[in-house]
Amino acid sequence: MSQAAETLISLKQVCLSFAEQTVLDNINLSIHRNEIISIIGPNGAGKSSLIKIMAGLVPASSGTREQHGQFVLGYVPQKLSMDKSMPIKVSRFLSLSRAPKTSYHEALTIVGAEQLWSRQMHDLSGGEFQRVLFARALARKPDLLLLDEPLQGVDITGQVELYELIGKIRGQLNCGIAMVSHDLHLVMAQTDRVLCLNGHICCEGQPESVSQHPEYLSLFGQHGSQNLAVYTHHHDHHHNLHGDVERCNSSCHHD
Amino acid sequence: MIELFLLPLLTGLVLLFSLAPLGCFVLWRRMAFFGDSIAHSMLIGVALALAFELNISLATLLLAAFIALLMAAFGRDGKLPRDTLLSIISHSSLAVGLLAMSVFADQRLNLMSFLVGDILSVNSKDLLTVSISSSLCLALLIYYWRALLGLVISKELSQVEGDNSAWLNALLMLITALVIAIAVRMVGVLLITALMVIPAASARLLSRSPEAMALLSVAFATAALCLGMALSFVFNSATGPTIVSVAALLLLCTAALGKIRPR
Repeated sequence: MSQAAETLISLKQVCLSFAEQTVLDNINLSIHRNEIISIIGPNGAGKSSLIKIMAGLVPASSGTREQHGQFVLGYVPQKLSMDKSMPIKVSRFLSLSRAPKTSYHEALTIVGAEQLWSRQMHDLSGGEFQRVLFARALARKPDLLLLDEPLQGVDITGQVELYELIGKIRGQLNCGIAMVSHDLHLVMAQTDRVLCLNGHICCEGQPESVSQHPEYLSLFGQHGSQNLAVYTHHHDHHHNLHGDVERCNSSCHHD
Repeated sequence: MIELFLLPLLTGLVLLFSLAPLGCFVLWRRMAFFGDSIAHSMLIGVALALAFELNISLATLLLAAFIALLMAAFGRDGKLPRDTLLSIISHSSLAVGLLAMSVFADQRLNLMSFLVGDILSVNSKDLLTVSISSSLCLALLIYYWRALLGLVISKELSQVEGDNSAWLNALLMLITALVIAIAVRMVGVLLITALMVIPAASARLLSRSPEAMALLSVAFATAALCLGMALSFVFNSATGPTIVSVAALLLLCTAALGKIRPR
């Protein structure tokens, strides 16, 4: 069996329900080494729950989670609310991963946040915090990296950078990656397989085929399958304070 | 007269070495109500011990451990928010405890000494008990320090990184319960949580790492204990409340200094 096809974990007929609500229904899924899977779906589709089941944090109500062999798991939660009552530097936070210091320092550099090294965790902005969380997961050199909307709050150029980084990391660590994302367009380029989730797996496959799939289109609509473009046009008028249209003249500076 | 103070002072100091760092955890995990619940339930333990003629220390200790484990097991996933639940447990156990004390402990015990403590009544046997349990708790805290910090920051991350968070959680609650059960003797069931939280809060204002905060909290608690005991000696005031008042005053001063001095 080639390296690329080595299965890391597989979920078989996994269901998850809270009280009487079914969150996940009959999920069958395997993640292989050296593969990037993106999980997309509307709010409440069970994306985070699926990641947590894969991480072994939440037990499935039924079905099995099979882990093939011993490997290091990396997990980036959607959100981590830290109490301000604990003073802790980024470096100390990263050290809690039990990775050696060189590893977590390198990981922080890789995610482009080296300058945060001696900052206090609770002083970080949302985007900086996510980068640090990402670094903590990377520090342990995971075989399977599970990312639950890892780039929330990261600005758009940072997101493009980090998605490219995710692609690179897969090559470097030779790991399997599953990530939840809202942003299909940024994700697509780095993804081998897209999983469209809405309680059950609506469709899965290569990014191009998924974006044309009828179930996908019914969930996200036509516009979801087309790249967003910035709508630019020239104004030949503007609105005064009363909302009335005025023709432009030379004193007009918009556009 | 000084010998009268020396033994209690020494006992208090030994106790603070585990009590104060645990206070940081109480702060970090927002467990103040948990501390109260344990402390208040001590009253029930005392009343039960009197009713069934058991050893008071043993009965209270076992009850504390029992309640801690109960809360570790059922403290999650309820419809009521955690702090509401703990507030209910804490105050109901105070009410039931006071009720039980009024039924069983009529003339035999001074209720006040349970409520606000009686540090001056400790003897050398108490010093030994406190030393052993306090060192045990401190040793456990140091040994599991990194893992406990990980748990406090994020249960999920610590679990993914290979720690057994359920066991760590139970351990932390048990240590807290044990230390509270011993410390109740010093400052009483009503004030024990204050003696944990206030020095930790003062330390928070001055520290930039969890370790520094733990060490500073010991320093603040020690200062409160020594000053409080001295003042209670001079003014002949109740010792437990004096110590806690001094701790609160130190917190106020620290906060005020922090406001004045630009950092």
